[in-house]
Amino acid sequence: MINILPASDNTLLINFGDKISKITSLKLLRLAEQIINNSAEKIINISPGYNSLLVRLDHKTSLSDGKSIIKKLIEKNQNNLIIKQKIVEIPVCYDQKLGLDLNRVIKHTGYKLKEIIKIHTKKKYFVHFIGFSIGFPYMSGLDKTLQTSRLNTPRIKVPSGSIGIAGEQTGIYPFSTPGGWNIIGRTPLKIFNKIKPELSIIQSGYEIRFKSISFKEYEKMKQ
Amino acid sequence: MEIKVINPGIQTTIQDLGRQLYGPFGVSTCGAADNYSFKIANLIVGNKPSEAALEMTLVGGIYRFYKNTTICLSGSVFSAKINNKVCPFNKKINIKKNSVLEIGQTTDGSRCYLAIKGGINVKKYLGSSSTHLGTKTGGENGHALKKGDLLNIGKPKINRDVYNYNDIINKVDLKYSTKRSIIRITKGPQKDWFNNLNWDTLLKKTFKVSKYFDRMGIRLEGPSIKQKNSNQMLTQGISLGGIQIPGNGQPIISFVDHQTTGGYPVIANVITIDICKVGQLKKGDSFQFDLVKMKTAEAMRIEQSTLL
Repeated sequence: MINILPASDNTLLINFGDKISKITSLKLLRLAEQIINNSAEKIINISPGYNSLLVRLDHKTSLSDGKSIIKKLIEKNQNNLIIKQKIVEIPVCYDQKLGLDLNRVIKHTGYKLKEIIKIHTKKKYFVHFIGFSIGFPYMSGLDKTLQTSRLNTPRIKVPSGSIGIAGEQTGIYPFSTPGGWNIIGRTPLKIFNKIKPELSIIQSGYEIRFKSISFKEYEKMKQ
Repeated sequence: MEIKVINPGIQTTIQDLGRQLYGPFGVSTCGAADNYSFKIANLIVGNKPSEAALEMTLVGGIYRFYKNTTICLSGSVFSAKINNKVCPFNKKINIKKNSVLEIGQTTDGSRCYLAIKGGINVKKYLGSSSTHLGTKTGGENGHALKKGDLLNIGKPKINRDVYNYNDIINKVDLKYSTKRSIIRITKGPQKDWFNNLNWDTLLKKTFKVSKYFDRMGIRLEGPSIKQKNSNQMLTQGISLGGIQIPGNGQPIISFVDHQTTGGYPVIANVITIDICKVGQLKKGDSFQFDLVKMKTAEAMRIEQSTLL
């Protein structure tokens, strides 16, 4: 069930149930795309989350007008879930020099580094949405045995390219920002295109597979 | 090169009314913190209300103009002088080539705006001139102004018939944004995660602005507010002015540069027309929240949008 409620006097929160799932995200991303293509005048911003889409209305638009625009788009939207899907391979160096919290994760999980790498690179991860800071992909489905809680005190600066894990999620910090996830490695790739975000190599709805590379390879690719 | 930054003050950034529709890429909206004063400054010099202008925080800085132009200062009153003569606020002021505008400390809230006829001409990032300091994007190469920066003034491009400025200025209260002892709110998405006792605390007690206040968020100090359940949030979109309650019970008001999503429950949200007051809060300010109905807040927003 989809329900639409005001979150403030100029925003509507569209709720798609209370679970994290690929289907929910595909529905939500499709609706986000529809909104951007069809209602730029009355809707001035949107922020997708795991199970919700927050819609910000232009100051002149009433909540009820906003709601009816969204309802119409949802009706049109129902049977159309085709979204650009793609699998992208992301090289990651899981060296302790770059994986700042590897020791913490090793201690927490009881695994050796080799095993952590094996488990993290085994699965494909679905990008549910881009949020938090610019270009940060939220991915779920981290293997249960690797799940480690967030740092007690977030880092003031996480280096750009850092791969993080928190609970059942894994993500990538495209730029240096504050952050509280456990950093287990770093990619040499620029995953976000600041100038043309729509051309970034990672997009919502894509699937990501991590590939382990050596520190030497990392340095070479970084150049 | 038409304006030279001789001294940039504490934090002076180029802002407009924000970056639209890039939320799905994690890009913050940004824009003027006190959008009310920002629009007024622009209207007074004869700009569109959304034209890029300078936002100054606590201390304004010193600027040399290399061109005859028209300016207006609005927002909290800062001590300001042009060539050593006092410069009034909310007034259209003609400025002569080689003049020096010196803006000292605030005498009131935290921010003032300097609008220039034609606006600040800077390369737009994703459709907006607003600076986002956290990601170093927009504005003047993504940073707050620095000593020696050179700014260009845009071409005045307004069709005077579209807006009747004098009319608008006469209708609005030029000091509205700086009256900040009461900030009105509506109930937020996680309103039911807090019991009556906690709601009472939020509505009846006084909150103080801590030293952590910036364009991303304003951390408050006051009585603790606790969630009544152990519900866990799934990361969701944050709205401007959302009042988040983290584990330590001290509310955080999400502000113009806020992250697009967050994981703390949102008990309430500052109403749209009071966002400008939040943009004037500074360390040590005390205020109370006042709960209003969604319908009331919405009606006031729509009414104000027809004026400004």
